[in-house]
Amino acid sequence: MRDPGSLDHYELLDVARDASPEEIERAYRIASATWAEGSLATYSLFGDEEVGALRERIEHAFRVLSDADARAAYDSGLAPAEASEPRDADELPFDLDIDLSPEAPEPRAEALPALAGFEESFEEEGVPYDGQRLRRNRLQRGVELDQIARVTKISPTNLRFIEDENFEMLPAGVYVRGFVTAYARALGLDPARVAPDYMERLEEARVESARQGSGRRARR
Amino acid sequence: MERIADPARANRLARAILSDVMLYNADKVRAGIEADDVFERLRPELEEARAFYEERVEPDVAKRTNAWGRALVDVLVYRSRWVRSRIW
Repeated sequence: MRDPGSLDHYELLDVARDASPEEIERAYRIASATWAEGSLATYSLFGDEEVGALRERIEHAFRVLSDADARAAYDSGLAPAEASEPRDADELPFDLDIDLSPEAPEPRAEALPALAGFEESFEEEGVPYDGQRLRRNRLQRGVELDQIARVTKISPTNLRFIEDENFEMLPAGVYVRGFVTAYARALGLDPARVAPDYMERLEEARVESARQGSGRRARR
Repeated sequence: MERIADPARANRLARAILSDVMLYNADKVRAGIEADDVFERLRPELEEARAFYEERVEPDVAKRTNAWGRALVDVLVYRSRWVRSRIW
């Protein structure tokens, strides 16, 4: 797993090196809300110290990147090789207290109703897992979004963003993968099937959004 | 798709669906409770939600248990009990 200290400011806010001030501010708002004190979004998955350190880093990254002079000075100190180094989407930047790997046991499944004996007939073979399919699965199992939130400690808001595929409002991909994995496991779905399908949709949408953003900037 | 024949499961389905209706229409539900016309105000959403429910539950179970009606009260109304209204 990658240490948060090894992420540069752009990676931390999950924005491109050429991100506009608006994009940086938006990324900052999302990151801040995700890791705000008292936020349920993954908060309990991490220790207080880790979350506190991350919040400080996010604040610092935003202060630097939102100031043109400070940003220029920071950019000049970044190694070019580091700039093109891809992030590993399979890695979360912290060690989780819980094991979200597909091989891990499923201690949470019993915490939700309607899972035992649930027929696989509701499964839609060959159909990729998107937000709508996740929601259908949840409803068909008679599980409320708040119940998923309580079991996974992911905020209902982020769960709703996942189901609605509100990719703009979701945090960085590495976190979303963790959310989707936990969501799938809570519903008794196979995270190894659900997460790749969902992440593919998210990544496609974000690439398209970035492409449109670059086009708009070029026309200015 | 196999329909739900277990009344407990039908009940959970109804509650989950109506919980989503509340989640997605929070302002409308609140206004409806305040004005005591929540079922009228949410008619299209509730009709769609009920159709979703009835598609998935054995007709006999849906009719015999009235899980939908009970969930309407338990979820839509009872969970709005903090809203100031002449209903209470």
